[in-house]
Amino acid sequence: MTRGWWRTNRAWLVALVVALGLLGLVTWRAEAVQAWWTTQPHRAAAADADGWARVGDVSYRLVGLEEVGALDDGFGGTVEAPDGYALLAADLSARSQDRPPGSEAETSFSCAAELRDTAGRTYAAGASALDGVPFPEPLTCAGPVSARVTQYFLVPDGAVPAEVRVVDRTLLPAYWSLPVPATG
Amino acid sequence: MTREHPAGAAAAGAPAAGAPDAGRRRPATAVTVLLVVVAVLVGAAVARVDAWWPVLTATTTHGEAGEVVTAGPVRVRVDGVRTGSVLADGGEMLTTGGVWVGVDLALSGTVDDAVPAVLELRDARGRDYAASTRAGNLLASVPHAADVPEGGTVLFELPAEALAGDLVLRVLTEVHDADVDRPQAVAEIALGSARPPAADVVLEPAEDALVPGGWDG
Repeated sequence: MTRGWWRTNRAWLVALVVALGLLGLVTWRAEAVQAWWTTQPHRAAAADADGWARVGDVSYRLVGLEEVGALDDGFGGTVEAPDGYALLAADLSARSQDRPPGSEAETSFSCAAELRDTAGRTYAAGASALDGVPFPEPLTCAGPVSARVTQYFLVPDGAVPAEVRVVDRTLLPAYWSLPVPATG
Repeated sequence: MTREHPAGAAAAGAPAAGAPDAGRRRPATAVTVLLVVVAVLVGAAVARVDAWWPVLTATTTHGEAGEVVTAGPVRVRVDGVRTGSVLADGGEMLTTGGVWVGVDLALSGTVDDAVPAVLELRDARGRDYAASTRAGNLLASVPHAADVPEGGTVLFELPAEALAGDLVLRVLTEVHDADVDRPQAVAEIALGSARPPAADVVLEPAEDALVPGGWDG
């Protein structure tokens, strides 16, 4: 390889290095990254000016979020949050879009609500760590719906809610993102 | 890609020493040797990178009973160790040819619901015993919310001679995200020695329940 060879082929050598780099970038853990991206909530459907966020043909709105001392256990009793924890109730409204008659999607209840706090911690609805808490109300993710549901979350004291998410595993990575208004 | 070069034709032959092409071959040979050396060094580095760069191996957090130890997606605190020759498990009395060891502990996630992948006891000889599947051990198999610690007793069945030395609780975790190369986080908590139980001592696991006051309680 003479100096002339290097000079003659230097552009191709640079192209080779760039091509190898691009190939590595494309294939490097591509399957794992793709799987992770599509199986986690990564594409937020943000709320509009009225607070409605839409994924597919269903929209959700966070009507309110407040701390409650106890929740109904469904058998006439109540379940209270012990010291060190807080029970939060998120009030959600759901509505479906107008569609031509006969074109409604099949109703699906495969989604669940999550609460995310300002520290980035995520809590599933249901407060299942408390004994006697009933299963959370089902949330409609597709099909005709007009509903108002309450979802309960158990969080440690001091957690500051930032966002309520409604996640349907079949629609990931899209999810409904409902920001919690900051309180003064 | 390459152009025919008059000098190339001459170099393909066997020029005599002192011929004009001999000077051009020396740099080419040097480059080849250099590239081979670089390739060998890179290969050697890749083969040893796990040892040289510990972040690519499991990261282990050490702690002792009473401390909240964080290992990746899980936090754990050991509150005590008890032994028994019989286990009272949900109304059933389980006997053993060895000993039952109950580790009273609390578990939570760190940022999301999390469940330990493996809970095991390591004896002084380095043998690992996973939490018993004869016992319920629900605490070790259900998800725990972030910083919402739940306490209870995780049960192990060990040969009696495993209590001859100190025990270590190992909590192995898994992370389910895109970073497949992320090292596994492990918590190792020194338990000290556990006293062998007298005959017919019944070990009663604590009921799983929220830890009053949380981690700060």
